[in-house]
Parts: sequence; C-alpha cells; structure tokens
Amino acid sequence: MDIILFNNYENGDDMIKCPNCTGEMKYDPELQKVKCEFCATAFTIEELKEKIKNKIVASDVEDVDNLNEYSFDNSTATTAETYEGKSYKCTQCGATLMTFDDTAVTFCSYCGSQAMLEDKLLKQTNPDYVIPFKKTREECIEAYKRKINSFKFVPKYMKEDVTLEKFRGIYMPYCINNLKKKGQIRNEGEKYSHRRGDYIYYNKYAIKSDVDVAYEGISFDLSSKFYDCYSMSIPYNFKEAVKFDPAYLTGYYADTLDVEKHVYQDVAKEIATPDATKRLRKDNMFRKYGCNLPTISNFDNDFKIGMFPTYFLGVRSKDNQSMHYAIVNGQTGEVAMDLPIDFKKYILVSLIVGLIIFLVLNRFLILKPEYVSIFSVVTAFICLRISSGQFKKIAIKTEHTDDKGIANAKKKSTLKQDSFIKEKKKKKGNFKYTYKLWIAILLPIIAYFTHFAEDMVYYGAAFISLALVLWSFKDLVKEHNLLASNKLPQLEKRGGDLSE
Amino acid sequence: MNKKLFFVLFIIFTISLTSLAIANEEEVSYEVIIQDDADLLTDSEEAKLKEDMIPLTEYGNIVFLSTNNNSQNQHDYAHDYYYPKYGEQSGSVFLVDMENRYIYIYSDGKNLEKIPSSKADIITDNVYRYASNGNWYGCASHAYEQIYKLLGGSIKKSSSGNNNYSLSSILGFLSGDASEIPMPMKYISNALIALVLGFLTTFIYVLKHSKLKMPTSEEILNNCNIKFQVQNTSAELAGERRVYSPVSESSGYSGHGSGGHSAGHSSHSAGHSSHSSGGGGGHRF
Repeated sequence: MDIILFNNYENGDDMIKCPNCTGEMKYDPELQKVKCEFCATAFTIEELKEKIKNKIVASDVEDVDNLNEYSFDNSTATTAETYEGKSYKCTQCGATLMTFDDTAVTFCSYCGSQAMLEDKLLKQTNPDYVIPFKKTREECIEAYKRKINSFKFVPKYMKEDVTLEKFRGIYMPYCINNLKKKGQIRNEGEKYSHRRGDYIYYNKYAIKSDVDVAYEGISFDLSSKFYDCYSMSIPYNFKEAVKFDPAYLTGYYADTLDVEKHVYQDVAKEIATPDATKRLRKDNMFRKYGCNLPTISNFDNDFKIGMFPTYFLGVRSKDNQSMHYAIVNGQTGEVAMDLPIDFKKYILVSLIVGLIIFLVLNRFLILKPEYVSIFSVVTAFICLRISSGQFKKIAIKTEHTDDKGIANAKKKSTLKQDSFIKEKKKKKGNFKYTYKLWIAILLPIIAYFTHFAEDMVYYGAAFISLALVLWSFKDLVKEHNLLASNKLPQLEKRGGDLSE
Repeated sequence: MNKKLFFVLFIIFTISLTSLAIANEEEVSYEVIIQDDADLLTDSEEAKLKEDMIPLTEYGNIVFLSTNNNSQNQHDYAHDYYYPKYGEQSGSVFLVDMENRYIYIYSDGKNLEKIPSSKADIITDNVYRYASNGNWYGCASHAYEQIYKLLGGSIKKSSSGNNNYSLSSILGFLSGDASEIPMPMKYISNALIALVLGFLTTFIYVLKHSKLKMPTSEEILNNCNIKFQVQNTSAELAGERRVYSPVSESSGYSGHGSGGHSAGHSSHSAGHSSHSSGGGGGHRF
C-alpha cells in the first residue's frame, strides 16, 4: 500500500496529520523534521512514514473514516508520481502559488497584488529531489537586515516591519542537469616532427581515452516569474538534495514550473566543458601529443526536477510602478536583492565626502581655469559612460533578453511577445537623461576655442559644466533605481493592470 | 707645543670664519629695481611704485620689469635678467611682457618658497584686469601688495586687535593658508571639484555594492557531485601536415641583421648648465 501523506482535500483537509494527535504537521528547518503544531512531536520524514504505515496496518480496515485521517481518499488519491495542493492564482500577473496547509494566499509575491483567487486542487508531477529549508524565516529576515544595513542608501520602506512580514518561504522548481559521459572520447593533437627543405612537418595524432564522467546538479530555475538574475546569484548546494517527499513542502508555498527543462542545457554544458578540459589536461598524454585543449563533447543530459527553498519578498516601489525583489536562499542564507537608492541619503553622504575632499584639496590644489574645464569634461565623460552602461543593462533587464526561462515561457504563453520598449523610444529616453552631460562636455570645449583672455569665460564655462555634471547625478540615481527594480509582471500579461 | 698652537689657531680661524659669514649675512641688503623698457609708467608712477616696493626688500630683491621685445618664454626672460645680477639671492620680479601681452611673477631664493608657481598664478589672476585696462601702476602695485602679504605670511589683525574672521580668512585657515590673498576662484572651483568627486565616488561605491554577485563556474561546480575518471589514454598517428617555411626566412639565425653596438655619437646637453632654481606664474591680459 502506498503511503500517502496528504489527507482528503474534499473534506477540506489537505494537511499532514500527526500520527499521535491528528494535529497539523509542518516542516521545521531548525530540527530538519516534521513537527506537530499541536503536540510538538517531531519526526523525520522516514519516521513519519513508518508511523503512518504502522497506524494504518494496526487500524481497523473497515474504519474508513479513521483511515482517511492519514491517507488520501481513493477517489482523489495521488499516485506515487504526483503531489497536490491548493493553488492560488494572481488575477493580475497570472502567477500561481501552491499551499499545502490551511494557509490562504492573500497577496502575490511577484506583483504585490492582493487579488489572489483560490483555484482548483493542483496536481503536480513529483520532482526527483528537494533541498529542504535549512534557514528559518527569522534567520532569513536577519540575513536580509544585515544586507540592507551594510548598504546605507536603501529607502526606508525597504526596512519597514510591514515589508519584512511579506517574506514567504517558497519552493522553486529547478531543473537539475546531470551531464554524463561514459565510454571512449577522441581528441586530436599535433606535434612538430621534422624539417625537410623548405617544409616543416607536423604529426597528427588521434588521442583516445576511456572516460566515466558525471556532473550532477547544475541547476537552473524553471519558473519564469523567478528571474535568472536572482536565481543565478544564490546557487544551491546540490550535494544536500534529498529524494523528494511532499512532507518537506508542508508549511511552505511552492511555485509551479512553466519553463521547459531543456532550456538551460547549453548553459550547463558551457559550465562543465571548461572544467572537463582542465581535468583532462592533468593527463600528461594529451600534452605529450600536442593536444592542449582536450574536450569532452556530446555530454548526455539526464534532466531531473528539484524543489529548492527560497524566501521571497516582493516590494512595490514608492510610485507603485515597479517591484523590488529580495530573495534569500533557504539553504545557505545568501541574499540576492535589488538595492534602490534613497536620493536624499545619497546627497547627504556625497556632501560629507565632498566636504572632506574640499578640505584636502584646499591644502594643495590651485587649478588654472583650463584645468578645471578639463576636469569637468573628464568627469562628464565618466558619467556619460556610466549612464550608457546603465541604460544597456536597463534595456536587457526590461526585455529579459538574458533570461532564457522567460524567453521560453513567452513562446508558449500569453506573455506579450512585442518589445516592451521600442528602439526609438529607448534612444530618446537615453538622450533625455544624458543631454546635460553633452552640454557639460561641449561648453568648456567651446570656451577653450574662443581664446578669450578673460578668465571668467573659462571659469564660467567650467563652473556651468561642473554644475551640470552634479545635476546629472540625479539622473544617474534614477537610472540606478530603474535598474534596481522590475516592471510589474502584469505588464507582460495581456489584460494585466497596475492595480494592487 | 705645536699641536696646542695649531689647535688654538684652528679655533680662532673657525670663529672668525663663522662671524664673517654671519656678518656677511647681516650685511646683505636687498634692492629695488624698476626697469621699464616698455615705458609703461610715468615718472610719478615710478616714484610711487618704488615706495610701494621698498617694504618688500625686507625679504629680498624686488624688480619691476617691462619689455616690448621678448622672444623667450616669460620665465626665461625674467630668469635671464635676475640671475646674472643676484644669483640665488632671495627676490621677486614682476614682468610685463608687452610683446606677448603677458604678466609674470618670477621668484627665487627664500621668496620662491613663499611664492611658488601656484601662488604666483593666483596673484596674476587677481591683477590681470588692471593690465587689460592699461593701468600698469595699479597692476604692479596690487601685485606687490599681494606678494608682500604672502611673504609676511600672517593674518592681519583688525584695528581693535581682534582676529578678523572674514570668509576668506576662515577658508584660508581651513586650507592651512594663512595669507589673505583673495582666492575666490580657487575656493569655488575646489568646492565644485570636491562636490563632483564626492558624488562620483559615492555613486561608484553604490554601483559596486548594489551589484548582484554572480557565482563563477567553479563555485557552481563546487555545489555539484562530480565524478571524473580518465583511463587508458593512448595516441596513434593519424596523419601528417606540412607547412611551407623557407629556411632563408626562418628566424633561426638571429645573428645577422642590424645588430651591433650603438657607436653613434652620444650627445650630451652641452649647453650652458643653467641655474635651475626660480619659478613663477603668469597670466595673459
């Protein structure tokens, strides 16, 4: 008999019951056990399975009601390959979150909307692995606080308790790439042989080796809502993954996968191949026969699915037009987050730094007006460079051109196919931010070519130029804040709007 | 006996040399020279300017020099005038170069320590407008006044004996510059430069610390299970490739070519080893 951990959803009971008191059980990351909320008894997953099995065997087979307290009703029973939970769908951005207990999803983590609709019972294919939560929610919030406290420019609303309460433990679906190669590989080498007359002769070698190579656990997220720039920056240790069991999900939410698993296989190979070359080069035979870059091509990829733990926080920006995300790795406690700047704090710190520099400069620096002009032109160029770099990144982030998962999800869903920002608009927008810097560059140059004896011309041009450079920092901060935020996910969904 | 006599003589000789040196130093008297070759000053202006210049002789020689004919740069012109006359003695030259329409302050000796090029630039910045208006006396007089302030190097007390807490004196105090030469442009430009540097460094800090850190391939693979076994590597000859490379063009013989020792004339700067001290600054007008 299959041991089925979730109880009968039809009875409004989709939670794991304590074998002792039938109380609700949740996974406790501190204990690494499933713990009863009522009698505080804790079991490892194996112990719980054993207990339930014994209970079922010991109970009166005819007492079906009693049995159902520990197992699924046959009519809705999951097979060993599936698990199920209540699903909630965001009416704004279309995100789906699953829960496995009585907790209702009252807001969407991805867009901040409170329009979450309880959907049907969702059945999902069992993943192969799960990395259980190791960090508690409190530890996650501590890690988040440490991060924002180390960065003094974060706006106040990112630190508020109301914001922190929105942290959610969510299991994200990941594709685990297991690259394998067993058998013979062939590489080519070439070595100087001899000279005869005007010709140099090289010998070509076919180098064969028997290899048994496996890279297990190169993982990428399979939820298009969980952007690659965040998921990639909080790598998981696959060595701690265990065989999937739905009991690990209790007390947490789970996202559903909407990206095909083969999408990242090229990236996985790009990661593994240089390492394979490095390891092969340790074998002197390759060097001896002139093969400097031995490779293993054509890895076989055995895809597996895993559920990896994250604490996810989505905060709407003050203007309500974008989202800042903060993600804490539920296994390692690493934090990946958007760090927008509070402009007032930025000005304050800059003024203090400026004052110190002023006092130091006054000790030794007396610049002729032409050198002041050169300084302003150089700094204007630096700011222009920073600005154009930021614009490139903003375009990439807005279009998600570097996110293979979103590109894949777009192909098969209602996500808008058309470009969010048209090229022309982009250029115009760029100039809107940079015209001050162009004036700051041109003004001193024009003054220089006028050859006036009057210092005030040079000083005037240099001072206006410097003032414009200072003004442009406001735009640079704006650009940075654009980069440290994400457009609302509903803007990518037909019919989505900006409402909360 | 001879040794004692020698010792006494040595002491007397040393003492007399030292006192002679001190006497010489005390005897150095500095001069005022007005060499107005460009005829910019009237006689009365020359007399007035001389009076203005006399207090500066407390610190060194003081020269007013004007010319209509200068093919050198201003520093060399002033140096060539000053050095043959006074050597490395302390002194300053205010030069009006009418040919290049340039005013320049040259200093040497102890005066140079107090009036380096940067300070000379400030003084000429402050007085070039007089020169632009043809007020040569005003130009020179104000320049000497500011040179004097720099040489004196102390904040003037107000008539009541209290310190004068003007903005420039406060800024001067903050910048470690006790002289009271007006330097408004220095403060404005330094303030703007400092602000821009402050904003820029803070922004670069922000950029650096707000970046999402991507793991390297190595870090990703450290989190994976890796099995790597290579066995029975063997190589077999699979063919041959030949490359045309004529012997004559080969680089095997590096002996020929344009080697050899550098027997060319070793030129040395044979010009007169000019006195390298002295410095100054100036301004077009």
